[in-house]
Amino acid sequence: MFTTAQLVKECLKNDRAAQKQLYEQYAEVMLGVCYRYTKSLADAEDVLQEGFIRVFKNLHQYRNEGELGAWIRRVMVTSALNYLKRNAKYQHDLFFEKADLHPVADENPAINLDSKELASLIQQLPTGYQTIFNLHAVEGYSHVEIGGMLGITDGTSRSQYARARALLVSWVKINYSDHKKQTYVQ
Amino acid sequence: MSNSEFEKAVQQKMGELTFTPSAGLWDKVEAGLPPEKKRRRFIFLLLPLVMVLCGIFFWQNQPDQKQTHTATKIIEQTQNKNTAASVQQQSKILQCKDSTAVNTTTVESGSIEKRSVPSKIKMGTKARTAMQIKNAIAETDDGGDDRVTKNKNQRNLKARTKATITAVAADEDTATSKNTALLQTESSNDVNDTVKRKVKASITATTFTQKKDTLPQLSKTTEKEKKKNQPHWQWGWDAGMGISGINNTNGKRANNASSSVGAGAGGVPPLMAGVSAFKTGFAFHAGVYAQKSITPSLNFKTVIGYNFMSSFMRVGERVDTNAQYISGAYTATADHYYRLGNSTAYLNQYHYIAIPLLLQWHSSTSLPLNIEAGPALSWLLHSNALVYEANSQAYYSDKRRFNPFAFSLQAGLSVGLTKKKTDPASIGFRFSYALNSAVKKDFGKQLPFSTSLTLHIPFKK
Repeated sequence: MFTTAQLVKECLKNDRAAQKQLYEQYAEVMLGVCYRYTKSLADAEDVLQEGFIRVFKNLHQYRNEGELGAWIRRVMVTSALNYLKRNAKYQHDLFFEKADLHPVADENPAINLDSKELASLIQQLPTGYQTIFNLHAVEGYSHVEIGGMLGITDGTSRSQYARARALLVSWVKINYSDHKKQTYVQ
Repeated sequence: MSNSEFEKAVQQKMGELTFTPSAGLWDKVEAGLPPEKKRRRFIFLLLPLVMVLCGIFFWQNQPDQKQTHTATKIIEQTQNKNTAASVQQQSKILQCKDSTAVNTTTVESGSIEKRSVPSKIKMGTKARTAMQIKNAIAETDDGGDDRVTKNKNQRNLKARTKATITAVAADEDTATSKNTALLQTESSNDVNDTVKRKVKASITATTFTQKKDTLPQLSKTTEKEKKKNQPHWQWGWDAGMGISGINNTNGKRANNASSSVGAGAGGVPPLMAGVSAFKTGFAFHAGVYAQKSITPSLNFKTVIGYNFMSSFMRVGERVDTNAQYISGAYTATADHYYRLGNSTAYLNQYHYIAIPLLLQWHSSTSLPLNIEAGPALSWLLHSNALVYEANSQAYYSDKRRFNPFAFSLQAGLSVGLTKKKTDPASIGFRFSYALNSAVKKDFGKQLPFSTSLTLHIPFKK
């Protein structure tokens, strides 16, 4: 069993066994990341495939400074964005309209959903909203960074995020109510 | 709950989100990766290639092989001429008073050439001979009966002889020049009987003293020549490439198959269904040979060199883990193992230092054919060969299961590449078959064998 440093070293030597070990170590988590940016598991697997190829080809850029998983996650996000921009199915939805600033709603409902249910709700957001929500709320990028990544202004990013959040909160509340009803019936 | 708390909750939930990728996804990823490099194999292939190239280089840059052949022909021709001419010349010695010096030189050079002595040795001999001839002439001067009438002839003779000596000394290395000088001296008609007798006596004395201690250098030269003519060691490169395999004399039993019970009790490994059979791999060897002639048609040859043998087998996927296994008397920890299966091609490698002891017969006919055979002793440096462990149903690599020494029989057939009579460069085939098992007794019986195309290239002299 390799340590992370050994694993990287062996992967850089193009050792197939090490590469497979690294894949097996991170594939499940990274497929979850890819799933949040796409609309189906099949598309998520396409992104994952592309992402891992990118990981192995660019592994020399990893300096052993941060956590390897975080570096791979960034590569996966970049791969997902490229996939969305390239894929006709997502291109139309990814159009970001210029919008005025919207104040972020104060509602903070409790999330009584499991991770897959919440991911399904995020998936149902329009692609633009979905992308910006993922980048800001989950990955933690600032709106300036998101603007740079998507080629939009930070203001557009903020307004898109506000709409996405409001929409998601409403869906979470509905699902929460449904959850309460179901509990009461039982 | 604040805004950031909602985001935190989302982050936490999404951090838990995992999906299992479909089974074939890794294959798709792998297809997009650059092919795995076989660097080690490349290195092993590179070594014999370099050896062969070096051999070809040395062979092509042998001491001007063509020139040597040409020089040999010239010398042979000169010898023939000299042999025929020397009879005539010796008969003329008695008639030619001032041809003495040259004739002496010619006789010497004839004998020297017959013994193939280098020209450098001849130079000293000739110079001394010239000195002795001078002394003989001086003696002749002193002992002449008719000084008045013959002084002119003697002076003339001295002058001519000196000129001849100068000519010989100036061009000692070529028999042609000597013959020219001889002709010049022969042309002299100033024959003096007294001088003739004296000079003849001088020739006899010179020849005698040469054989004794007067010319110790020549005697040493003769000894060197004798030593040179004696059989001596010849050195060169011996390298080859070919195929190798393992003859598993347990029949269809598993490769290295063993069970902890059976092996520990010294039992024969049980039949293992699904365990891979050995397939032919590649082999090469490279080393330095030493060869000595025993009889005109028989040589003793030994080689010390590196010998690589291999065999392919198919196993399951590799698992990197710290696994402990017990095999017979051995308990070991392996950092990886291979599962039983058919998905991975594995190359069992055996690295030996080998010392064959061969008797080589070479035909005396125009066809430069060599046949060699003999035993060989090998020492196993390293092996990554897999052994099957019945208990865990997995293949492990463990050098301790192998015998450190191997004995084998080698036989070869080769054809000379040059017309050189002694130790020519040659190319041929060599077959090797092990007499003892590569693995220890408890783990079965495996007899490695190899066949290779072999090059035999003498060092540049």
